Parts: sequence; structure tokens; C-alpha cells
Amino acid sequence: MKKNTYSKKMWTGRMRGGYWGNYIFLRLLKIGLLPAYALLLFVALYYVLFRINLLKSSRVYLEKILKRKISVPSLPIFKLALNFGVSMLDRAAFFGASKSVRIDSKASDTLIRRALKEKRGVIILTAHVGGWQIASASLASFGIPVSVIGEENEDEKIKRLISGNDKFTPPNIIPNSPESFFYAYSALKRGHLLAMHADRFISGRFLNANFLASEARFPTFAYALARKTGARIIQVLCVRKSLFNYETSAFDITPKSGCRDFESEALRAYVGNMEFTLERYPYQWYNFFDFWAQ
Amino acid sequence: MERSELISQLKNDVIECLNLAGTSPNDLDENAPLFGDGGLGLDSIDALELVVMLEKKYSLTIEDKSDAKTLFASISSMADSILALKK
Repeated sequence: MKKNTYSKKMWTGRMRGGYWGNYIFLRLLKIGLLPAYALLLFVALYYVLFRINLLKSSRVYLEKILKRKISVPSLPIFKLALNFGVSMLDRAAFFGASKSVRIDSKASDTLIRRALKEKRGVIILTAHVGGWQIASASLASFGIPVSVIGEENEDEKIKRLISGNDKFTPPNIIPNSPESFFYAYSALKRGHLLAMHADRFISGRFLNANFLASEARFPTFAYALARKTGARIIQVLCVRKSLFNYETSAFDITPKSGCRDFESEALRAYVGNMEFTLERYPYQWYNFFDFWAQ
Repeated sequence: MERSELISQLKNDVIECLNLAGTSPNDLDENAPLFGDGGLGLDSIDALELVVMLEKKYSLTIEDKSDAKTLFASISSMADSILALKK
């Protein structure tokens, strides 16, 4: 396992558009999703034509997944930006109690329930794919404490604007800091559920894996945590199957106990499942930076 | 066990569990922060190794996020937490 303190300014996932941009979209959502989508078409076009610097890194990903040259700007980049916007609007509508957006999480719920029965803790690994935030809603239904490792990186004003519509109890957010991992470890040892993304390496230890035919860095903390605690690792990916309809798929990627190459084996499975999903839904991967340049 | 004795033992434990080859207990400042700049510069995997060591050797478990932050501030604070547990 390699150690790196490298960190660069990268795309953070923070919402763009500011308070008023989000306010206008949320007002439109009260009328319905389609009017919000209509405005989104123009916003996505604006970003592709005039703020292309924010999106141009996605060319690298699109060339790998579509296996052809992509120019900047181009229709695939527009489609990716539009899909990202749609997932953001769907998330806001879903958490705002809209009945338009539906999620079928039966398959992943069954797998997670089965894993929880073992009382050894479960790590849910997600990725910035499709409607990952929508998928998180079902985690509260298992009746056990859920913690999420991540950052609360939205502006306070925007968070209040969105949370004003929130019908779900927010999960317990553990900041991505070493001190928090003691708590995460203890939570898993008590048989709790811990969720985190595993597709975006920022700093710390990493492993290289062959992702879309090129080496890329992936964080390894989740796998090390599973090895130490004996927790199961369930990878959950949530994609938009059709307009307003999301579906989760889940994979148990826990290597056998005592496996000598535990972290690498789990990572290989994680990357393989992500590739399989993205080949079917290439415009639902939302990492707008050069993933392979690190 | 005296606090100073425990700190000395913890320094040895940290060196052993993190494989800090070439580091002697005297090189470790017990009041230096374990993580981040200006301290030992440990990372998340190191934190995990320390957690396992503290649990196995000192039966130290934690249920609250703020307790974790206090405990992991430095080797001194680790010693204080262990002593508080034994009282």
C-alpha cells in the first residue's frame, strides 16, 4: 500500500449556482420536475459554452468509456453535465417528498439486511455514480445507527434551503479525519452501518487499480477498516434507469477472511463493478476532474 | 502505573505498531499532535493501527466522536484516557 500526502485543488462536489440559483430551481421544483429540467437544459448549455474549464477534464473519462476521441466542448460533455444536473434536481425533488422520483432498492436492501444479521458491522461503499444521494435514503430503514464518512461542504445558506424540504433524518456525518476513524472502528465493532465513497482519492494511502484500461489511484482506508474489524463490504451503486426512476445494485465484495491481498482484492472487485455499471450508463459518473492524472 | 511510565510505554507501543523504524522513544514528543502538520504526521491507516492497539492492549473503546478527538490529540492524552479508564 502506498502512502502519499499529495493533495491538489480538485472538484469538490460542492453545488454551483449559489443561493439564488438553487432557490430558483427549488421554486420550479414546486411546480414539477419537468419545468426544472427545461431550465437545466439552458444552464447545462451555458456551462458547456462559457464555463467549459469546469467540465473539460471530463473529456478524459468520456474518451475512455466511449472509446473514441471527444472534443471540447462537445455533445458528450453536454450530456454528462445535463445528467449531473438532473441527478441534483432529482435528489432535491426526492428529499422534498416528491412522489415523481422513485427508487427501487430491493436488491441492495436484501443484501445489506443479510449482512447486518451477522452483527459484524457493514461498510457500504458507494461512488459518485447516478443517484448515490437518493440511495442513501434507504439506509435509515434498517433500524440501526448509520454513520457516513464525508464532508459537509455545502454553504450554510444552501444547506438550509435544501434541508427545509428534507423529509429524512440526516445521517450522522463523521468528518474525514484520522481522529474520527476511532469512532468509525468502534461503530463497526458494535455492528453498525458505515457508508463512504471509495472512488475519489485525495490524500493518504492509496492503491493503484486498472480502471477503464489505465492505472488510477483509489483510497484504501475502507478496505483496511474492514480487514481490522471483520465488517462486510457491500458496494452499492445507484443509477437512473429511466426518467424519474432509479435502481440500486449491490455487490458483496468482502474478500475471504485471512486473504493475503485483502485490500487489493476488494479494490479489484469494486473497480470491476463500477466499470460494468458505467459501461451501461456512461453518462452517470460525476467526477469532473482528470481522474487518472494524480 | 505512573503517568510518566505509561507515556514511555505508549511511545514504545506507537513505534512498534506503526513500524517506525529508526525512531526511538526519545524522538517522540508526547505533547505533539499525532495527526496533521507540526506533529507526527500520521494518517488514517496509522489511526486504525493505533485504534486496534489501544483496544487490544488497554481495552480502550470509544462511543462518542468528541472522545475520539480528545484521545487522539497526543500521546499524553492517550495516557490520560487510559488512566481515566482504570480509575
